[in-house]
Amino acid sequence: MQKPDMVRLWILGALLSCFSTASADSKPSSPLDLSLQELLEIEVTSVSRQAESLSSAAAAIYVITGEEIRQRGFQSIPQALRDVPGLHVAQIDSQKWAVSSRGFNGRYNNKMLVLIDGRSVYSPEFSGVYWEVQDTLMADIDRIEVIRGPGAAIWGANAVNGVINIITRHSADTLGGYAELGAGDYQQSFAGFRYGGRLAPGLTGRAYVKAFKRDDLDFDPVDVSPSAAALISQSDTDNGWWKQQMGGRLDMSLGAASTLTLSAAAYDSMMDQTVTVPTLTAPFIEYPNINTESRGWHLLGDYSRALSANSQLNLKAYFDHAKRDESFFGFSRDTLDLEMSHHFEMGERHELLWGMGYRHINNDLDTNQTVIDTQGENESINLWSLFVQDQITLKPDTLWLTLAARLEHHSYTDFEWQPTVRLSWQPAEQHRFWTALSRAVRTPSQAENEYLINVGNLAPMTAFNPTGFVNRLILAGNSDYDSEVIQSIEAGYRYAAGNHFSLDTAVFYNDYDDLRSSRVAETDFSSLPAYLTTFSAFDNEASGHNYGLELSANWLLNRDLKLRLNYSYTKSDFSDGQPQNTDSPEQMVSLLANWRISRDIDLTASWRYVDRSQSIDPIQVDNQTVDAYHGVDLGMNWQLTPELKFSAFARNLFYGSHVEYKAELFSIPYRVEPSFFGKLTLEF
Amino acid sequence: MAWRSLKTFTLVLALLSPSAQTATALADPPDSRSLIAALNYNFAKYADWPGEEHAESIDLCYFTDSFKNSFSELRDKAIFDKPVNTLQIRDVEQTSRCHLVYIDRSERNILQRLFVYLRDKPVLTVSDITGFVDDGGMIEIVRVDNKFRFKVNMSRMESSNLKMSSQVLKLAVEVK
Repeated sequence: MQKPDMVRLWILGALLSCFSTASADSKPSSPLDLSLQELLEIEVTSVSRQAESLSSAAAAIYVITGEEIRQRGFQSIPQALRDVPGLHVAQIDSQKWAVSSRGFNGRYNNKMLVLIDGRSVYSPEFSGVYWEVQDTLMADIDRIEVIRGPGAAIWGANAVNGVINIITRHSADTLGGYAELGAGDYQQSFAGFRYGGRLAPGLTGRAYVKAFKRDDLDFDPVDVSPSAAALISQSDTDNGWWKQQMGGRLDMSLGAASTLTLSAAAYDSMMDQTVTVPTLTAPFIEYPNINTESRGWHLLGDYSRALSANSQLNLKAYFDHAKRDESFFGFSRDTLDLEMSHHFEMGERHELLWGMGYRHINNDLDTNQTVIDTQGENESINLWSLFVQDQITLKPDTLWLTLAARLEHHSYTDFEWQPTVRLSWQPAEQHRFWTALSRAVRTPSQAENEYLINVGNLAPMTAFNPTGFVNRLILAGNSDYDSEVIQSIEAGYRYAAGNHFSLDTAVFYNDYDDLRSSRVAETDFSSLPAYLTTFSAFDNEASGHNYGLELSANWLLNRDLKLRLNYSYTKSDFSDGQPQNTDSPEQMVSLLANWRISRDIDLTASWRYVDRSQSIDPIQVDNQTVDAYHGVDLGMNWQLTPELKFSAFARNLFYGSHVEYKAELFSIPYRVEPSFFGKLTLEF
Repeated sequence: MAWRSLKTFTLVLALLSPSAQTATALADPPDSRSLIAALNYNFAKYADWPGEEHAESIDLCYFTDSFKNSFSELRDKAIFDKPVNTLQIRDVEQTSRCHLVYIDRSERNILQRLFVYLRDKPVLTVSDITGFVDDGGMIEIVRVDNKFRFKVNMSRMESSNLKMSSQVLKLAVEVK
């Protein structure tokens, strides 16, 4: 019985194979018609021409890919964040940036958490991010994930209005050499070098060095009052800087079940800046140009072990040192952070994540300064946290419910409770809806808790100081000052039409309570007749709300042309006179285009509009305003040889010079203007 | 045995048959994800699983949405007399239903759980994650001079009772 069958099958097989050979003579339309040998002969032209698939996150999330960073020539992290919907990104001077999500922008925006490979770079002094020193080799960034809205249940306190996760590439993906060299007007000169290699089976690593020098932005006297302009004209307004950084990363497999990542970096930067310093003699303020040095280093270890098919344990530890010496302010800070998390599935429906963490921050404030001093009650901060998340599949592939909460204990405020409930519904493959309810807190900064800040001195016999003496205004930290609280409701919708169109929208309503306020606490006459001192203390008496809409639409017009429109609308309603910036520019629009002209040349273009913005002035009653502006960025990448690429970029075109932001304390406004740079990239 | 030798015979014939076709003759340069799906299809064609002759279909699995389109193009294909079935999976435990599972770069964080779970199970693992065959994977797709190549971890395949045609191994840049 078997024999005839065999023969028949053999014949059939031979016929089939003949048939397949014959059919290969007609033009195949799909790689599926090619043999393995032929597939290996095809040149891989582009990474992918498909639009990205819809995110499944039940949160407003936007991802900047490493490819986009390289293509658009972003030389710093704030530059890469510029066109993200919901974010307001504004340059203050050559070094400083104000970056915020859903309002509350400022040099010291305290309501957004920023993490680089899981290491928090949010600084506790003023609560905020020193963006100028947060850097890495931009070519080694895998992606930047921007999550708008409260993320505190998972990421911890201060993730009130957003979390930015900067994730660097695995060292197995950066093998070989990379060098970049560039020059321009604002980007005066920069160079970077990285080498990555396989050190042993299962062990890869890379090391990099980078350095740059950036030019001053211009100060224009029309941007300040005539009296300030007259004083500033007597001083330098230099704000150029240089920075150098080196670092590296090792990734190893420890058997089949475990991996260990170690990374480290160290930097040094020297910056010029013009600051405002109150004085006791007329005109009671001066604008010295000072030299500021900032240095730091960190070490990070991340261990992961698979316990079973659906259970994984992570241990992470880092140590971070940061030091800053400004003539009016200085600190030296050490942070130790330990975290464990365990991710596992329970039954068919529950995906659980829980963990705990401990952070110790030791901060030495340089107390030899006149402008900022400390009452010295707390020098170190301890933060304990416990978090748990359960993602429940209510209906497979259709409906998910996420419950998460984080309990933290902070030296300043004791226990904090930060829960979130998220629901995600996918009625059809191309539609996804989500909604979330969350509570998050912003814990006090050291400034709010213990510093003494001389924000200004009032001249005698003036409107705000009718006395005959100089009035020193001191903002005094208050150890009873509590956390600010947000309660937020959000909803979103994502849609994808085949491969060529996708839409991502989100709406939110945020209710803020216990916001920072200040009141006159006491007046000290002991230094009369030289001056009297008015102390203002921080309280939690202010409140307000904001709401808005964000949208990101992607079109793949054809396989070489991609368009993206990002839009955000934010309406702010806060009581007047709050001692922090509250309002976001009402409307922001960005239109981005990527066009691949030929196999070796691609072009990028972006146009953006940013509405009028406001920021507080600590010694004036009225807010400072910055007019709306728009601008165009252009870029070109030309692959000269498989190894060598030439790129040219132009920024902030067609609007002339303009102020993007006026910082709330200690600085003067500078103008952003069109700039250009060229860059050579070599990969070997 | 008969089934297996027949499959091998037809495949070898196809592989050896002279083809006037060069890859550049494709009407449209293919997307890298379509190429990867086609490579996976070819690996499945030349692999032998224990009990394959009794299987109703050859199940090729992938994780992320971004490969949904390219893998679904494989749906009307057959491997010898078995229809190809493509399956998007969400978690590691589902991989035991698959003949082949493709893990793309964005899923690097599941590798350890996958290796722990699939240890010695007859599931062919394919990935473009650098270092995949060193870490315990079976076939690693690599890019050399803008073309796809692959490495094979033969000892890992053997310990899972999988076989691969020597014709394929000849094309690999590394077999260990």
